[in-house]
Amino acid sequence: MVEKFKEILKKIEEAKGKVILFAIIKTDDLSDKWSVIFSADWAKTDKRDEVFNFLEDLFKKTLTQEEHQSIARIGIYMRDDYVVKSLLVFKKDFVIKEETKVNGFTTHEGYIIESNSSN
Amino acid sequence: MAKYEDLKTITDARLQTIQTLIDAKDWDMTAYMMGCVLEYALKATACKTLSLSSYPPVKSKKIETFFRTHEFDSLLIISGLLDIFGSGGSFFGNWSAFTQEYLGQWTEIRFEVGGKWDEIKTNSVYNELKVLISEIKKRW
Repeated sequence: MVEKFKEILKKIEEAKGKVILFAIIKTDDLSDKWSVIFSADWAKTDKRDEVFNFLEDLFKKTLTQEEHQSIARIGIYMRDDYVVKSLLVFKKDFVIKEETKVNGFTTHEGYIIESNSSN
Repeated sequence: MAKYEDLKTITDARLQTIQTLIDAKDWDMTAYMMGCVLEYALKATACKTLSLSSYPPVKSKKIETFFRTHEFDSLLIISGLLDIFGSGGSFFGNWSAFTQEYLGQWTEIRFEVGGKWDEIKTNSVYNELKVLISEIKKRW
């Protein structure tokens, strides 16, 4: 699934531009679902619905039905949001393998697909 | 244990509390209360979906693990609302926009001191909550 998200990142950047943060994390160990964490300067608050639909459409086209249903939410954040700041400390391709407390929320597993505050 | 009808009543009562907190510009407590309202509403819907008169339904520790949680991903499963709020559902966008602010053990926010919530963010998230509650009420 991580390789597919890398493929999705490539498509996003080709279509829209650079991405600051793109990660998938698990914060609920019971449900075992992924939260997609996304931030890009072109994904402004007033364009949230448009960006959401664009991402959701890419996920549908790239992931299997089972993989798609394992996504609990698509979170679109501004670069100054604490969730983004908390995850930007991890470098691109970093894998969170064990329970890690990240600025107020616990991550059980995670993959940092893109992490570049200068984007 | 909370009774099914009480969970519905408390959802509406705390929605009114949210308006009072917004009027008082208490953004942090509004944020916390908004999370509580969604939790109560999902638990009420779980009662309806699973034909339970109270919540949690039994005292078995294994079963309680899944019911005694504040985390929205687990509550969504037992509420039976995955079809509309889950990935691909009609209100997945609203669900995402609201719950992205309440990752994991979100109740910890009651111990946080300022900074993460302001008027714009609070009102935006409140609008998403109203959509979610409106849909939940059709099913609870």
